[in-house]
Amino acid sequence: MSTAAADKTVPARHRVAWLRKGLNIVTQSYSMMLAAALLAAVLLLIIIVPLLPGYDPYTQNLAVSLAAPFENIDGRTYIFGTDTLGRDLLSRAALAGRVSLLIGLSAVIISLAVGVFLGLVAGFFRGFVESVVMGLADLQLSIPRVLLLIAVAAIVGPSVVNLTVLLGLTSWVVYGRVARAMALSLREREFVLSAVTQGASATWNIRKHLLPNVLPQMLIVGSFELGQIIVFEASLSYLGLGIQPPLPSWGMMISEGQQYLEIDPWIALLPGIAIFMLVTGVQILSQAFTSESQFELATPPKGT
Amino acid sequence: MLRFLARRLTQSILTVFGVLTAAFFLVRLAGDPSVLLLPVEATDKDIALLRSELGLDRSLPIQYGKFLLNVLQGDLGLSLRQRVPALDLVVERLPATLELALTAFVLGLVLAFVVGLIMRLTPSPRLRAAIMWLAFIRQAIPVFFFGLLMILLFSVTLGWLPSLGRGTISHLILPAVTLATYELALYLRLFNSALGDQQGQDYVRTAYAKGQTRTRIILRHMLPNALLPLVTIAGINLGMLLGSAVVTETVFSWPGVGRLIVQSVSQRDYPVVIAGVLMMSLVFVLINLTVDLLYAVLDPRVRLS
Amino acid sequence: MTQGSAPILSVRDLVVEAVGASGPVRIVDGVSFDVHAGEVFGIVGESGSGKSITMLAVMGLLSGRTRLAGGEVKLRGRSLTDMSREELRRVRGKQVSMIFQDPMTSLNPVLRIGNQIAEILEIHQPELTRAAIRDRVIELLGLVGVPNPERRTRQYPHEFSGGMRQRAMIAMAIANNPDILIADEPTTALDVTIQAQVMELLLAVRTRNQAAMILITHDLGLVAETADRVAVMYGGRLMEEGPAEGIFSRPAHPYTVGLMASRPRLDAAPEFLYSIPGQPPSVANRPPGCVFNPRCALQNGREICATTVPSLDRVGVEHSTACHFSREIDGWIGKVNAGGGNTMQETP
Repeated sequence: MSTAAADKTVPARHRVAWLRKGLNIVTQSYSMMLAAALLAAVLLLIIIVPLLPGYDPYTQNLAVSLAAPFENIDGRTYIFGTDTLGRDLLSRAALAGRVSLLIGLSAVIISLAVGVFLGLVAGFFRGFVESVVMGLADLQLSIPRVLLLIAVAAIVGPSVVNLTVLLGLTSWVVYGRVARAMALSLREREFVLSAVTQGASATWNIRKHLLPNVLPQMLIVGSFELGQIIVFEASLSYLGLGIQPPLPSWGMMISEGQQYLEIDPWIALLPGIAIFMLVTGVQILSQAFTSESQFELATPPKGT
Repeated sequence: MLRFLARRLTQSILTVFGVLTAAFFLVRLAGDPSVLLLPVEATDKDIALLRSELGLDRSLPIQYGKFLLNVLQGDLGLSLRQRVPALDLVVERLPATLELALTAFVLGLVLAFVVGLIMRLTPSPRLRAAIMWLAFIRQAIPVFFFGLLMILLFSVTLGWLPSLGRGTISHLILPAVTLATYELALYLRLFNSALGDQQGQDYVRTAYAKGQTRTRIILRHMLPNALLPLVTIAGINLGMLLGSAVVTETVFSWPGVGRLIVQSVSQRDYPVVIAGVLMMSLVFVLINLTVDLLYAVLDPRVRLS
Repeated sequence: MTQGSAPILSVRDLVVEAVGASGPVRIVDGVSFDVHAGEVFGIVGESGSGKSITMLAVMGLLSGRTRLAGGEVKLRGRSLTDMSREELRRVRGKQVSMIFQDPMTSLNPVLRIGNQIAEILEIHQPELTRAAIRDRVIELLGLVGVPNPERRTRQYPHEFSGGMRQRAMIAMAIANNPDILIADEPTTALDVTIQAQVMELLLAVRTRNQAAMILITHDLGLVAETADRVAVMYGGRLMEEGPAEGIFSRPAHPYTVGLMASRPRLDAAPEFLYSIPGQPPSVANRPPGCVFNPRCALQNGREICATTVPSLDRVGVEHSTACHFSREIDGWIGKVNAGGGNTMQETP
């Protein structure tokens, strides 16, 4: 991340142009279009399917258990097939996707907020505050994230809220680092300029100036992190330590499906493919925003 | 070199203490530790015993002190399920985890090295693009799903390799490859940019001015310099590796510490969970230290400062 | 120096292009000169004048987006520009070697000095045994004045001081007794106190090996002291070329005059440090006509300077200049000297 680029303030109309640029990016290269297609497919699953008739993620029907995708069984075609308890996999996958995406987005927002706050505070106030925040970051990084998640989830219990907060709290460091770097560089400038207005006024100024600069970068980082968090949540659910039944989750579906790999691999494959599509789509698009915005932020409009 | 070693050692010790402290507070997070650390059928006498042992009736600093003392003596409580010291259970499983993690780590670096070299030496830009794409796709697949795919292909469909357990080399292959390939995309990108960085360096120009051949310049001059950032990043990624190992062990029913932790969580055997997490952190810190030493070996500037 | 004998290095109409955002740019635009055996040939110019690139092109060391786009280079009559990459590789380090500006970055930080010097021997004298190479490396280090050479061969570049690193580079460069030694700003990156020593060493070593030396520098004083012949470059083109003594006593190009005037003098009170007004030219946008025209105090608004590129014409014995009005320079300097130091702006 170039802090030099971050020195330029991004006014509001620039951000709209930003969005339009975003749409342009998508149509520009093949990988972008692929990413958009993947994302669209997954979002289709997540958003549309629960609205269709026949959507039912919970009802068990042992008579139709372990049906293959598109198999017509007992007078009904299950597009994704059924699992070992006869539940419709399409519905379950859709609901699981909603839950995952919800948790993922919320966790990203939490970690972004926490990270930006701690990072700005550390970079601006320096001294003891900075040491504490950075020390916290280092400590957190000295335990593999999955282990930390497992340990805390084990102790506080894996509810959806707990998971979201936990995922959010363990992911703040990357935002914190960038925010701190920006605070450090901008701090010098503002202090020189607003030497007269000290105290609270300066603080407020910093917030007004720092945040608009910091946020665009953060959103880029966040879009990449979204993929990571979704994978973490899926991993936890796979281990049985994440989303708990009766709520379905892709991770848990994969875990359940692993036992039946020889008989019906689709139970495990379909959720996995869904994760892959979502994560890939998000990551490719976030990369596009990265290169695009570095160009944007580096050339400020005249008159700023 | 000695000063470098001393400094890193001190850092490592401080980190370990930090983790211990965090664990200390974590356990108290959910309320009374004696609830977590004793089985349901514990008698009042058991509870009282534990309370005095942990110093729960005393002030926090004393509790902390007792906690540290206990840990340093190797006393991390008893497994609720098996009534044996939690630490013993963890130590028993440690070799399996180390075998998997270290194999995967080395394999990952070797793979990155070989594939990176191929990418650099090949004249075909298509091959280069194809490799990077494959690596990128691999990285977008969660570790556990990739493991599952491996099982589906090599165990279920082809029947070449066993899908679970530990025993022979063939048991090690699938889990190690699953782990090792995960970070390949990152390593390759880094390796390539590191090699690319070397390309423009002055000493490379000097080597050409000496009349050296391109291949030898890459192998003898650029490579050792490009390895340095690679090793650094590999070290930093150790965290991911150990975390992924925890998950991978469950996929392949590999009898390591990770699987023990997961099983213990579902069985609410908290002393084992805590012991396991602490042990993994210790391993992490130690491996980091080793990677730093490796860096010192590779870079004479670090070694001699 | 033997005038009239065939030159050992002959450069004709050398053109180097770089690929820019909007098409190729000629960084070096038609440079020609000769270097004779055993002479010290200085190439002087501001940074950006193309002097380093010219020699890199001669050695075939252009990288990235720059490439040789025209001209011919002959070494002892053999065309370097026509050679295959492999043949050129064998010339480098053996018949022509080069020393670069910054010895810290020009040496590989993770290899021992001894190994790096040995490398140039291994490449071009593969018949030598390892023991012979080792002895030769120690001998070379001793030759360039590195104390305790045997111990030093096992050290790494960062354990050497700046001056010693450059000595090691010199040792590498002379290892195979090259015919031509190219030194690209060899002392610029060194401490002032060391510069003289290293330069002295370079000259001594060159003389001992009877090699020609091409000294690339922006330091006019250095060139005045050491060079036999000098070429002055500006904006990728040659402005003036001739014997050092001739150029400094009777410069035939306004740019050369300007360069000399801008040197701070120890014998006169520096109340005004002259610098040639204006900016160095952008090679992407060369002005039509003479490239020095925009900053020239001699042109006096004359149209030919702005429209026609002056050719390199002889003005004396082996002395050429690229200026339409070189014959006016003597008179012009006279007026300037009479009027005081700061009247370079005055047009004749």
